Amino acid sequence: MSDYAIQTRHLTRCFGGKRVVYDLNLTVPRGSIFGFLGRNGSGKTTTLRMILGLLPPTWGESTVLGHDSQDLPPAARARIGYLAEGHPVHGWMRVKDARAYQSRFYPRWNDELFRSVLEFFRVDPKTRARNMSRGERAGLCLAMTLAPEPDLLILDDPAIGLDPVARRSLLESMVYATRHADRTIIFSSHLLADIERMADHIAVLDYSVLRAQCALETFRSCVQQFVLRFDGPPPAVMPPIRGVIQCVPRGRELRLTLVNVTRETRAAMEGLGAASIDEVPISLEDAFVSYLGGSLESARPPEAPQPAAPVAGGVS
Amino acid sequence: MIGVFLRELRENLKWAAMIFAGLLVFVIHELRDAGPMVMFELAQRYTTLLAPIAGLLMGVVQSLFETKPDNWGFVVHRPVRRGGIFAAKCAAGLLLLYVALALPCLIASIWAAQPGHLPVPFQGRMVLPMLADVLAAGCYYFTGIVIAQRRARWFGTRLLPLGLALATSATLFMFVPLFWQAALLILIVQAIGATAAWGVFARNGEPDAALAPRAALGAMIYPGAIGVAFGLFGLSQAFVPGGGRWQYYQVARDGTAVRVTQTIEHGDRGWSYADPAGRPLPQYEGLDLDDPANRSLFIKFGARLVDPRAIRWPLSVLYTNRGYRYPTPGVVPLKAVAPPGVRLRFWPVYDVPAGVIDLFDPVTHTRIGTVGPGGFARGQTPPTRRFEGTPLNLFMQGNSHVMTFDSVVYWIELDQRRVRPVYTAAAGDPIFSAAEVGEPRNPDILVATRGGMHLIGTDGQLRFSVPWEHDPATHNFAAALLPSNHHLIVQTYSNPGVKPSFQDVVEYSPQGVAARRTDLPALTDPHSPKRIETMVFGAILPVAARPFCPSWILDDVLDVRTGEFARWFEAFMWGSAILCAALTLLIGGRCALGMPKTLGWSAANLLLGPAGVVVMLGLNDWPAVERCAACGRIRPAGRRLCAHCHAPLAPPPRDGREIFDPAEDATPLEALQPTA
Repeated sequence: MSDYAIQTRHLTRCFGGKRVVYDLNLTVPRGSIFGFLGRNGSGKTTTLRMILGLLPPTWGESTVLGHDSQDLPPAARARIGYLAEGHPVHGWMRVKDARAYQSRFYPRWNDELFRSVLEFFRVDPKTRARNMSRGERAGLCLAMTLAPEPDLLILDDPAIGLDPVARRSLLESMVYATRHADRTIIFSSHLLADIERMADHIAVLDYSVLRAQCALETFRSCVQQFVLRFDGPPPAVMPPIRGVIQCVPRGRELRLTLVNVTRETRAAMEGLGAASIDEVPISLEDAFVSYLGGSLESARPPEAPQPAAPVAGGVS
Repeated sequence: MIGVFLRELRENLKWAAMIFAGLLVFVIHELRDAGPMVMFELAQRYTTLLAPIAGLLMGVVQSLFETKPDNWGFVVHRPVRRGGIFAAKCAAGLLLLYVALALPCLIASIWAAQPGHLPVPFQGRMVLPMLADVLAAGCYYFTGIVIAQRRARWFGTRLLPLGLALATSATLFMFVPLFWQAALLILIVQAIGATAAWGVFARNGEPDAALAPRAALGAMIYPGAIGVAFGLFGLSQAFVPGGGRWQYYQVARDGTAVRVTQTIEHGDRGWSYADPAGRPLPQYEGLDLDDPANRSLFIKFGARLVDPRAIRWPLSVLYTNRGYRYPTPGVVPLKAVAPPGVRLRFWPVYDVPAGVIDLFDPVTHTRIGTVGPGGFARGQTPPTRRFEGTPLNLFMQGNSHVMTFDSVVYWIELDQRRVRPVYTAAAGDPIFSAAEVGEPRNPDILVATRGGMHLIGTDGQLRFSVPWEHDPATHNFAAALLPSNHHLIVQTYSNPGVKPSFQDVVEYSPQGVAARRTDLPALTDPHSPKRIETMVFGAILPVAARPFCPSWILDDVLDVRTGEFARWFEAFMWGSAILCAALTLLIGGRCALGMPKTLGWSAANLLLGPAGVVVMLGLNDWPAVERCAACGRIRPAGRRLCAHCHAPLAPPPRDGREIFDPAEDATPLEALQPTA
């Protein structure tokens, strides 16, 4: 048995001329809780659909639980729980209808788990799905996804549109679902607090390209922030420094966020002539925003003579 | 699968209920004032139109949920085969559709079968038109699924799959004579629709790579593309100012043949008159045929002699009503059954399978009795004798006092509750048609046998017999008595589908001598607006269809003039085919289909014409292109290898921000490159 629940090789998907997912080589370890991050339109949902065999890749391949994604046998699908974005469920269904419908497909159906998730979300069993609140609907969908006791749980932005209470319920349900050590969860989200709370591994898609795949702690340690204090105004044009992802001038200070800081990076920073260089702590959220924000405008000191010119100290 | 089936049943029950209720309202409305042919009228007025709409609606609404990819994912991500889900879904949809449509028809049938409800004997075949409509709704159902789920532009090929279903309905309505043939056609079209719908469902509307679904989708789009081409042409004609020009022959009251040319220009109607050789006839100049005073200027040929068995399919269905959709093969309402002015207190119908004329009470709708060759039998008493064989010319029987069989011609006198044999065929000279000619109050009977034409009185007295001058197997005849001298005038036409077409007029004296014979030359008009129609038709008609569409079908069924403008027609047809093949080569290159596929499509479109090009565009993506980094030429953005230099697309460049765990990063990307 492979150590990976999911593996992709050069997975690529084009819509028209746009490569929505480009040459994705992803590995999701078994038993991990895997956070899948990226901005809107970066290709997260498309990737998950390809992994589930719901969308054929333009080229490349992927395997799930050892099976080719595009030819998943029913027995393999029975081991994969999938909660699609937007919590889809037939609007006319009440809880008992949804239970009757879903349980018919899954021999390992855990009715106790189904009921407890519903109670957790305080889902009114008499309400039709179309009349449920977003939280209730999410609860119903999550219960339908968890009750078959899947080995692999794929959740596409499960917290979308949920209030903090419902979101907390969702997370706690996911925590409950991970009581089995060999159960793998992969979920995409924009909510960094959720990622921080849940995930032990992450992958970051930046406009269709995989930029990071690592343990959460690795990511945290690779993104650093430094404050450079100058005696006068900071330099108008910065020399290229490898790994700079954000540069924010503030008076006589320059706040630099960097990735993969090396000895050369430090030397380059020192070459700027700052009076002092101090590393400051950075929250995971700030690290993500800097990493994915691509706020190149802010990386340019205000005194820069040509606003439209490429930023000298930007990503290199 | 049973779970999907039950869910689909539950989910779409409301739509089925709406269809059922809607159709039931129309059925009840029709039954409240039901005529004798109500079962056929129900089909003609309601099920023909409503069943397709219902089928389309059911297919669309059943697929709406799955048009969103996430919802579709929810539906198909289950531990069952996708084909099983599709089969269960369609089984539920078709079951609901058929029950919703069939129940009102069943109610109507049960009602009609009750004695006293209809003034005609109920026959099982009366249900067939409605049954065919109900079954045909399945074709529209699959079309609905394809239209709803397939990702194509609404102003492109999205709606074109409707073409196959519409073409099927038109064929069923006009050309199919027997019910089993209709059922077989429906089954084939449903199989095509189901295959295409499966391809669309299985890939959530993306183009399917498998051959069968692609071919099925192409078969659905193709008739639609042809239909749109004709529709656009018709639409363009509607905005072209001008008019039309028609030529035809008339026979004056003195027996002279006149060529009439009618023109409409800017809404003004005009007529010009000439003899058959084309010389103007000044005596008719300025005559307005719309003026009621001129209504009796020319003879109206009331009698028609035609052997329906000599008319070829599909014209036989169109012209002689020999099809399952028509009542005549089963029951024929008789209107001309007594001398003019005599009012009868019963409703007579000829019951074809029973071989008797049934007389029904018009108020109570109960059977008064039957009339056969043996006379009248009251109430439910069996008739002493029945008519032998099937009457000829049933499609003309309604307004004729003459009932014709192979061996005998009867004169109907239902005011005296009897039929009288007036002509018995000689051995070896069977009858093929008979009709009444002359004044309605004192008519004669013209009997056509294989050997000749016989004019007899209603008392059976033979006036004269003349042999045929033209083969009755390939010609039909219109006859009338000239009011001036009671001469019999017979105009001969080639049967539909017989080329070259021929016409003449022969006038017979009361002694049976041909007093005058006038050949009527074929009417050709180089300025006819049909010339442009014929050219456009040629441009649209696929070369592949030409062997199956001889000129007589095109001209007599589809009303073009391929015989008259043959060169134009052939030139446009082949020119269009070659143009389509060349265009396909260009499109194939742009779509990066590769040389073998491009050549294949090009050969196919040489045969399939412009609609084939539309099908090709509907089945293949129109890819975005970019410049190849290796060779600099244009290549599709969605292909890994350049079609020109075969260089693979470069992997995304690294920008120094990459964060990978040592385990993940240990394998360099280059090592994972698949073999080309």
